[in-house]
Amino acid sequence: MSDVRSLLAARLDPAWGRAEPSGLLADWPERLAALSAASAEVASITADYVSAIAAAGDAAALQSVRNAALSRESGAFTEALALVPSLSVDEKRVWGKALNLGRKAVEDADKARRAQLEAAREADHALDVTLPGREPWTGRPHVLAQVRDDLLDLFHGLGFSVYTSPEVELDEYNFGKLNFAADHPARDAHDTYFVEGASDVVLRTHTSPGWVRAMEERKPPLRLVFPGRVYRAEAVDASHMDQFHQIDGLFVDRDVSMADLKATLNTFARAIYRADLPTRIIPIYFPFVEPGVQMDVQCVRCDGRGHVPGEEGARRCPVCKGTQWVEVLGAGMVHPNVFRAVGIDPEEYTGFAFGMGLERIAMGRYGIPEIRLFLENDLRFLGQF
Amino acid sequence: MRLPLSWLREWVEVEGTAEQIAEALTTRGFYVEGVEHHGAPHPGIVVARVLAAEKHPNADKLKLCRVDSGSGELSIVCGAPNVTAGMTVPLATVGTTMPNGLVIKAAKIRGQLSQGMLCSTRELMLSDDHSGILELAEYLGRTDLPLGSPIDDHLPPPDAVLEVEVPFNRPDGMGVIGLAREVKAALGGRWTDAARTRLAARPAITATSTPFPLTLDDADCPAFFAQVVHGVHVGESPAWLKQKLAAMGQRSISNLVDLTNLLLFEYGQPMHAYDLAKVAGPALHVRAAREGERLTTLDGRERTLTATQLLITDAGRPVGVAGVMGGADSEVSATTTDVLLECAWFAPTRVRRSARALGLATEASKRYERGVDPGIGAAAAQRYLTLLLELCPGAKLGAGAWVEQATPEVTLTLRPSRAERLVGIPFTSERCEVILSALDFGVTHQGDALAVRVPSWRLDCRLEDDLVEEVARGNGYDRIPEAPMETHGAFAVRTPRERTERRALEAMLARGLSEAWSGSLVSVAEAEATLGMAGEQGGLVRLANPMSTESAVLRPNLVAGLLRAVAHNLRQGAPSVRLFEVGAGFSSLGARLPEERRMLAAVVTGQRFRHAHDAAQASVDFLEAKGLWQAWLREMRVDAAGWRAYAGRGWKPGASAEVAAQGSSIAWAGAVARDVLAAWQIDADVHLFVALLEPLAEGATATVRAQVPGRFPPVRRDLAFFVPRAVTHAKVEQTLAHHGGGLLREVQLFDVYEGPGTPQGTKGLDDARPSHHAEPTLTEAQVTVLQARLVTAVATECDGALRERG
Ligand SMILES: [Zn+2]
Repeated sequence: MSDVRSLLAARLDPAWGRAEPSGLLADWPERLAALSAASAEVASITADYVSAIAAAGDAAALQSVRNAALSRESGAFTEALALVPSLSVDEKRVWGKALNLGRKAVEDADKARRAQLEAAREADHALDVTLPGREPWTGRPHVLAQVRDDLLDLFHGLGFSVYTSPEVELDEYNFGKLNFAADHPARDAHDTYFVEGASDVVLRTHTSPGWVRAMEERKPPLRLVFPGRVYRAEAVDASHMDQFHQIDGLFVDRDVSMADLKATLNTFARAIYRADLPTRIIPIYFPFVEPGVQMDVQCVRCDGRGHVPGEEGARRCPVCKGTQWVEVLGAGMVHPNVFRAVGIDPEEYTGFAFGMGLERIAMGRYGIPEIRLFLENDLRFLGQF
Repeated sequence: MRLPLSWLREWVEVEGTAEQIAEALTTRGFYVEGVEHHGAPHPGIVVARVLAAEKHPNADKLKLCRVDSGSGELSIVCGAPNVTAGMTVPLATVGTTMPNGLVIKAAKIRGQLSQGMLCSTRELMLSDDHSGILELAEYLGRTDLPLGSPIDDHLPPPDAVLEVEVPFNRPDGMGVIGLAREVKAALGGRWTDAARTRLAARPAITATSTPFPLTLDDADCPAFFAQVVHGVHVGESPAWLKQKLAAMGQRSISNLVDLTNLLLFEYGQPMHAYDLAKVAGPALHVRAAREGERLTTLDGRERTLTATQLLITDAGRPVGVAGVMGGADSEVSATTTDVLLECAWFAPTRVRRSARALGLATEASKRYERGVDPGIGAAAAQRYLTLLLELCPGAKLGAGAWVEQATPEVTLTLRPSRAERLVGIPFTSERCEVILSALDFGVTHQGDALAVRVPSWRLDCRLEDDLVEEVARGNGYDRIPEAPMETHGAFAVRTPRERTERRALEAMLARGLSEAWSGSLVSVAEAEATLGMAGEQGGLVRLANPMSTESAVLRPNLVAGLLRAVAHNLRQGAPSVRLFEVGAGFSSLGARLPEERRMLAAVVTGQRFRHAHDAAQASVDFLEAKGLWQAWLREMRVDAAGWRAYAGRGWKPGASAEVAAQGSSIAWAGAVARDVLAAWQIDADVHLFVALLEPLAEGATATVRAQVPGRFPPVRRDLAFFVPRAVTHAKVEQTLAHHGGGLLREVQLFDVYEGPGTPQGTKGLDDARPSHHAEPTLTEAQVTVLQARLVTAVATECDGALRERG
């Protein structure tokens, strides 16, 4: 037996570094206990090999230890195991078990250390994943397009299809057939751009001329929305533009009432504002509807209180001017004169219509302070939405 | 229109606070934009007399006053310039909390003790005047104010003023009476006794009166009341009259003029007072103005008139533009002793045109053009005369003339069933009657319907549905229920235009371009610089009345707006700009309405990547930009786009192309010409793409027939040719495609070679040809034959030689 032991001892190079074997094999204490029970000598030698493996600083050093212990030609365990058959039956059992346990421990340690060294090598060659990538440009839809599409998605869901009509319109469609009498002061609210050389051609001041064209072209039931750009001859400042955007809606059939209108308007408010935001409808005058309706929603800036906290106590709410409500749209029942102008019998059909401004909704939703920003196309502005 | 509640309560007896009245008006369509509270109570502020006012020893702008507070003498430092000994003033004693929250304390100011504060009207919140200390005796017209008594004992009680937005169709709301009627109906009030008397009053013109010479020669003036009053005294108005006008934001001028303004605000009836001595004749004549006639109006401006204006003249010359403004010559002045009152009715349209032509909008013209109650003139005139005689006790009525118009009797039928149908809730005829009667409509029952007599001031009620609105308003819009949502069988479809534009948008967003929305109005210079860049043929559409030179003409295409945006963003320091827009371009082609062409335009300038810190980063060049546009066209399902060199206006020659599909031009792409960029001060290469959307709609929305992919991989062959430089890639590609027949599926360029070994004047084009045939796959023999055919074709048609490869 001493032959085997000395053989093993001779193979152990004292120059090999030492490291704690348990750093490599988590179950080392159990393994060592099992080994020691078989042979304290083999256990000690195995511990030396495993320590050397744990201390191997690179793949070559590790290979050298591995070779010393396990090489098929000259590995210490290989040679020692080769001697086992020549031992007595009792010795065979004891030495065979100890050597096999030792060899397995060394093999496992080698495998674990190899994985550690490989991981370390990869870590050395790692990319700096925090470097910025080669990033392509991204595009955003315009903020007004996003608001418009939200509205169109809603109205589409409620069965309204889009109808488009010209931005440059005949006076007759912009005013006359919408029951604006010639020289009526109601036209004053529509500061109108006229086209040079044609006194009867205007830039539409609202999207409502679309109703006239749709009703002349199609038969009820009509359930349509009219998105588009409109123009007013106004000086441009922070809250006024000479161009802005509206969406009108129209529903014409037998027995359409203000109760139907109210349902549609409240659905709009719940979907676009907040499901539980109080709304109210009050009378208002537009020449093309009778009765006329204005819908307000409760001011979200002051929660309907009319005042907001200020430095010197409460001050009047700057959004609703203390009225607690914010106007969001105009609406009403289609005026019988409008029906007559397009050849629809107002005794047979009734209908409601509504119209709202995209800018107003967008400014409220996103807290945009100036209407001019919408058509300026500043990338820093557009990129936020 | 401002509505002081004290004035309102002279007319109607109603319960309710200012806020409740405001709410009632708003919910009936008279939007109250604000409520002002005036004359807050002033506890602690008393009547005092200034005994002495001397310059403060240590401050030039301050005065040191001795004041009798009624309970002793006080020393007070005051900064107002008007303080003098003997003045009766409001004194805020120590401990007083001012209406603005300030608490008055005794303090030393520049070394002198100040034991209170003398107040201006603004500090008392009586008006905005802060020019000096209020002279109480003058303000209240009393000299017997007991010193030390609270000023609130002498001031009018606190009042509130509602700021009411009057709808265009409700001229009756331009007077206190009209608004009072709405409040009365809304809150269940009643007219005061004084109101009933005043509304029923008529001027006392009798047979014994001398007739005043009045001739009306224009149908737009059917009613005119003229009355001479002798022995008037023109002077300052009494406090009550001044205060009423002040509440309306109208300054006091003189008692006679103030009375006309009072009637304007109260009855909504404009009036005018002439100095009789300056009215030739004396006589009045109403006629159309003659071209070129001149009149200097009250505002001191000489105006040249046309037949648009209705003119009031005396026996010789014009004395006023009817319904708009009186003449300066016949104005009432301090020396006036005899006055001629005008109270007339003029046609709204005439006044509107007249005022517009003069560029004037006066309180009178605003009321006339909306429509003054044709039935109010008599009561208003009588009220004026009554008040005038009260203010000038010695005055006597002189000659008068009264041409009355027959107020139109309008009676409408209202079916409660119609109201139910429109409003969505049932109405009984009794309910309709209650609502309408409250607004002074006359109602009689006719079977199931009502015969409704419309009062003279309700010019807005001419149809049954107008009465339905009255009923709905009176009942309250808040009582209309929400019906279940019903579409009546209508359903929504996305139109081809929506689908096309949605795809156009998404395909551009995917290329990393953001959506721009530019104004449709551009300057003439901008329009001319870009005209034709989208292939438009027509002329510019100019505005007759532009607001600025920047917005004078409709954009012919989207290029100017995008270049504006590029210039703006470069100025703001953006290194790259990538924007596109979908919208209309406008061209005049001679039809009544201009052509509106829907198009997409896109601009790219700057770098390829938002970020890259290696060799991949570079400026966008022609091929990079073209790749974006090609990819977009592919997304728009344009399969066979033909690109050819283009040198149209605005495009940089040699770096621009026109794109055609199925024989017509659908797009343009390339670099923007230098001179165009210079117009926007852009100093960068800008790649532009303009595509017409209408020609793409069909392809973009078509339903495709599915094709099953082949089961065998395609055979690829690489062929390289030397071709003369003038031969385009498109030519070689077409030749290969034409001769490849059904076997050639795709031609793909993989290199352009012009380096060493290229024969003089040629370039190498390397084309790979993945071929494809259904099943079975091509045989080697077939491929060899095809290849030989293609080489021959390129040789004969493109003068190309197969490049031998090493
Ligand atoms: Zn608010």
